[in-house]
Amino acid sequence: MRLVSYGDFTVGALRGDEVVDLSPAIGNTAKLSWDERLPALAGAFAGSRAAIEGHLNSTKGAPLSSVRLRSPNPRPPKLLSAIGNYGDPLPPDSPLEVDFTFKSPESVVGPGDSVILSNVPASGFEAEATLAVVIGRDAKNLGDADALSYVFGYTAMLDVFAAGLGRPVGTFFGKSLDTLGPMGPCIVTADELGDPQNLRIRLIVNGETKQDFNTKQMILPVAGVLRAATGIMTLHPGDVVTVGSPPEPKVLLKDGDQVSVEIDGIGRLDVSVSDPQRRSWPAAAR
Amino acid sequence: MKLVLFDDYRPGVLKDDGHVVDVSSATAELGVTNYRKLMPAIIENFDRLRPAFERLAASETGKPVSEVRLRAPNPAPPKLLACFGNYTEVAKEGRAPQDMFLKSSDGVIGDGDTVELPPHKATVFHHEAELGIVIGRRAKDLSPAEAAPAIFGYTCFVDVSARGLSIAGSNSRMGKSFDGFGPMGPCITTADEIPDPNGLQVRFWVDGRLRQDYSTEGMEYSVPEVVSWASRHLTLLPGDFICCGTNHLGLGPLQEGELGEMEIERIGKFGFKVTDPSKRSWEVGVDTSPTNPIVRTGGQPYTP
Repeated sequence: MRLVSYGDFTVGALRGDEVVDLSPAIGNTAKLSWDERLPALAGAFAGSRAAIEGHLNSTKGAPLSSVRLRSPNPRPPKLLSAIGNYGDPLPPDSPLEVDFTFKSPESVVGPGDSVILSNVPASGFEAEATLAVVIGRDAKNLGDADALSYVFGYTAMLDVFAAGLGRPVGTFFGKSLDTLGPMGPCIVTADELGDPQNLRIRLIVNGETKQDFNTKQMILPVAGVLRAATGIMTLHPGDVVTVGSPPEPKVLLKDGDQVSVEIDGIGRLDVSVSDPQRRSWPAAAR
Repeated sequence: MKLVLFDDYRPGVLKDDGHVVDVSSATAELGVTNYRKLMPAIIENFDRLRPAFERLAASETGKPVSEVRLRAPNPAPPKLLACFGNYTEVAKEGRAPQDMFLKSSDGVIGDGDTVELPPHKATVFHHEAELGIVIGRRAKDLSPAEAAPAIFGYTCFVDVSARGLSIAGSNSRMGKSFDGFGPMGPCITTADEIPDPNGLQVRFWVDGRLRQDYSTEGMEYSVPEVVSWASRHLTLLPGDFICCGTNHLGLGPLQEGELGEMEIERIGKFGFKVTDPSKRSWEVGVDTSPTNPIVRTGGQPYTP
């Protein structure tokens, strides 16, 4: 199933080129506040799935082109980002298997929205494409064997980082600025996506492919990332974990860019970039 | 006013006489059933709720605070921001650039709860006693002069920190986001009762022995500057929480079986237990190892 949020954050599902309003099939979840719907749906999906599928098969949809898609999970309770996890592995004596940082839930925007390069003294706004995992059950201390069974679904994310803020050894706080976390276009449920370790991911800026990689290249696979994350903290339904991106090349965004993240089996997330100050950045990386 | 959550996360007012009055009859209209969302909802609607809270507090005796189970007063802030550094500890010129990081908003625990040390190979687990700011309204791009009205209140917070878990070249701060690494309590004191948040004494004890004892006057960036900086980078929401950093003088290990207690004047005192299933041990007292930031930067550990 391919789940979306649209209009006033109505929960829907895609059926071909149509979107079907799932509100009548999800009971009280549809009445929760806009940010609580997807986490509640994810947590209760196993029990409500049959009713949702029945509704989906018997209800007329609206043309997808007639609605405004939102981020399918417009405010995850926690948004945890794996750093790197492609390219060179960490040294064997590293104290963590993979490094993480948080992004602010307020950084999330949806398809067609703008990434706003705000007036902060950044050295550049770096963009990377990543697979994002949406959690379906309370998860703590997962093992490799069962970790994927805690996944509700997958979506695409453009992870933008305002580099160079704060102290010289920065804290990644620049990943948490408003609008620097576009997510979408839909959440594909785990059963429908299948194996998350063979997905081609592309980052396309103004029609030019800037990143082109495959989740086969991940150092720790999705299950390992979830094991490492839940060794630190409990994850809850609706929490999102992004699983990393190749460190090179650095892709810098500027005003007017049209950016897409495309992932096999999920689709394409399109956003535009706005810099009210119209700054220009060095063409090469920092 | 001092606000608490107690027993089954019901809202209360902590009176000056040490009694807690249940105000859930006044918050029922909010329709919040998720305890994690209750305090942010109270904060967002506080101007409307306050008269009813005052009436209940004046007319009811309540229960002695010793007879209730206090909970963290804001157990799941929408966002939990933490200042990076932010105290002038050793003589130096100028101020370091302002910086923050996000800490897990799920790791908060309350009075009497237990911090369980994870099996990860940390060099030490430190207590960082900090003043916590609770945001009162949606806020973006505030100047320091505009920050005060956005502050709802203050609480005590311990930024429990596993040292030595950083990846080389990274300052991601994951060693601060283990479950339970955010003891908070005992109450939120509303901002009207704390006219000068940069004139508060902060104290932290381990097993009754004083470790940290400093004034919030020593912040490099004051409370209004902290709120302003955060709001210039991201949108703050009612219930968001910013801890102001600690004065690293006096830091020491937290370990198996210990009791940590923290107090800030005008807010109050609370405590938490420490357990370590791995049964590691460190020298008890103020930490003199290079993993203590104050030692690393050339200052002297504090001996009260």
